[in-house]
Amino acid sequence: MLTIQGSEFKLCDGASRRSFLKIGSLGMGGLSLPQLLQAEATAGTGSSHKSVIMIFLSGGPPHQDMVDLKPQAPVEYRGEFSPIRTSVAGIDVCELMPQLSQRMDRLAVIRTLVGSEGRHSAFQCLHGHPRLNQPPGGWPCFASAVSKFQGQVNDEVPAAVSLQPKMGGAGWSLPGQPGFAGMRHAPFAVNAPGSSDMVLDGITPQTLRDRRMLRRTMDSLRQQLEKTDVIDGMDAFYRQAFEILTSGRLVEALDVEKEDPALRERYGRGNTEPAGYGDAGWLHNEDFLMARRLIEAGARVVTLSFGRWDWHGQPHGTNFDNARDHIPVLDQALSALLDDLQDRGLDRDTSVVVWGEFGRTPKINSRGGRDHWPQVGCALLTGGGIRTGQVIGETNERAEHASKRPVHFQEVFATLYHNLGINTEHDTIRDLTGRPQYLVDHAKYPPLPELI
Amino acid sequence: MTLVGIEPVLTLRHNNAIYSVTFSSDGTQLASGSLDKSIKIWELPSGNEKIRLKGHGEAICTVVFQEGDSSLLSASLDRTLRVWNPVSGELRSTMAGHAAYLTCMAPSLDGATAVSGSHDKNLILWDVAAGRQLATLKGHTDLVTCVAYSPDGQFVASGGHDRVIRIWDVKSKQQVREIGPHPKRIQCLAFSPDGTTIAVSDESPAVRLWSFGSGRIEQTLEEHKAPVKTVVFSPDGRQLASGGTDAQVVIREVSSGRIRHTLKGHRNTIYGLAWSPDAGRIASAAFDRTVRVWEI
Repeated sequence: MLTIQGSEFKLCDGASRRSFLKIGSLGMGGLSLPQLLQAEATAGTGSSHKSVIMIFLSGGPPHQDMVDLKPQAPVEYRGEFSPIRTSVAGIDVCELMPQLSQRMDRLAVIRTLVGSEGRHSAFQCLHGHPRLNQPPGGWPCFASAVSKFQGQVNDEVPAAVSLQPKMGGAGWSLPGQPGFAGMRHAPFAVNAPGSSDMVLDGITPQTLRDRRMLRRTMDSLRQQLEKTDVIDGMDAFYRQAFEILTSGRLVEALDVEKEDPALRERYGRGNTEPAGYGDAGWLHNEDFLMARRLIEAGARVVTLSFGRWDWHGQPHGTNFDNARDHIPVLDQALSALLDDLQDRGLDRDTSVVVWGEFGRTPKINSRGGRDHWPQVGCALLTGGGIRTGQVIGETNERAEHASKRPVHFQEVFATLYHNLGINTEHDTIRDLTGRPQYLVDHAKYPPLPELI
Repeated sequence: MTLVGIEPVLTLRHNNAIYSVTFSSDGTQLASGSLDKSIKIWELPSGNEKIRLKGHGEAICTVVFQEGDSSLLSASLDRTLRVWNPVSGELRSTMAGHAAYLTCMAPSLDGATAVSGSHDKNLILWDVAAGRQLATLKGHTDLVTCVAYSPDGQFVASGGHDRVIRIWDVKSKQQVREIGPHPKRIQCLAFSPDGTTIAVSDESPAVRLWSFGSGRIEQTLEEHKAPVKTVVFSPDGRQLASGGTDAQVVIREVSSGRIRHTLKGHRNTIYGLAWSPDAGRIASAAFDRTVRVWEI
């Protein structure tokens, strides 16, 4: 995204369209400080900094092997794992989640997530809408919409930050599109290609300032762009890049080396090798820690991808082999995040959602796998004021469909917006035709009353 | 006597699940093949990584040292067999031919030929030195999961989801017999060193010992708690090691069926086992991303 040393970053001398847009994706807050304070006052959030961490389990986690086990189902459905009791009476989870089971009082489980478009993509989990039939300009992702409404907390850290790595499966590595919220609200994609070095290597802020002036003078492209809401503020992109580079606060937030080694061990390190077949995300526990540091530094929304949960079976290991590989790691990293947020008093203001694009087939296939199952999936939520220690929804005896209280993706988004002080009944963003667009279909999908 | 509580003397790691492990003929090296697409060669007894071989585009399902350890043959889900110089890492040849995932491979005892099995339901016989196909063996009606050469090199046994052990004559390149069927889809098989017995497991905790001569079951071993994914005889044929979804290695005396060792420590399914040439060590490869070496 933003590289000073090396050949990819051409800030001043001949920036390509590509690099121009890359720089452009650094979000610049849209509100002045008075507006921001006013917005927070309206939302009743005082001066605190509300935030969301979105954890995307790329590939579609098996709901029936995590939070909705069916031990009484026929053997070809129930799988290899047993349920264990949790800290909340009446709620059981998979035996591979012992740490989360002891924190169930701090979690809300949705067992009946519906409305998946059935596509292998992060799109729906980041935007709340299907990929098809988008309004002109495209739906903004959740992070971009929040950036649009609430701007940055400070000048040095973007409101929207994505930790998604580049993956072989392009749909999974999507950091979220800004859509009609405007390019300046695009998530800052830390792990996008070319973003590996965000340090000023031999370049002083004065040099950078001079080059920025040169760039401003010479860039004829800028003059050709119309001043629409989507492409305006190109100067702001550079200003944003400049602020980030010179302050170093973002870079510092990303540097988990500064954390207590004991806390890092608590999260677990993980690694940055693509998990599973090699085409999806990594199991990098420290992304959870990085997300907390980014929130603390001022980010409003941080998204990350974790692992590869698309477990069709042999010859890439059975669904259950992969579950034994992934779920304990998630158990450790997410438990550490819950504790860390609580220890720092961030849990009251920071909502966390963990989910994937769909559930998995109730019946185990001939290769020991479970295939795609858009009919029902699951989600975990915590923090930000939601009521935890509860399960929402119920599936039938084989976890095939929601038998009680189906919960749509957009109801979860409405809840998260609510936690941030954004009113999905009233707040809109204009699309490219100037038509106001609601963030969710608010008449059908209000915030979940069970959680707020 | 059952010895429980043996700790591995080495734990070696990949960045992803490990499907295959093998000792060099002199016992001083170990090679492992992983879902991370790499092959690692380790020094023994230190466990230091000597070299990492990269080039396969998918998981490595089988690795074997050949030609007095001067060569290493690998097979991958990427549908290829590759021959490597295990010292320099140089890729010497690549053989392709399957139309779907290549899931298993076994060399002949002299290393001149090899056989591979695939999700395309076929086996391919390979001339390894020439790097070419000798024949495609067709007969399975579902995907193939395991193959083995008879010690005398005359036969190949194969198993898969059609539940039948098929015996192929290498010379005529024809299927000559069927053994079974097994109750469930076959996962793994191994010839005893004397060629008289085939150990087979399906999607169950049982290991069945079939008489190659009569085609009848001689013993059914049922110590595992979950499906068995790999079986291998000791070099002298007196012991049989098995591993699988219960993450345990069970070592038995073949003659009595008595358990000699139960090796616990893995945290996920064991997919590969190998005996050292002197039978003093066994290496296990698992989905928990580790190879463990045990002294027994």
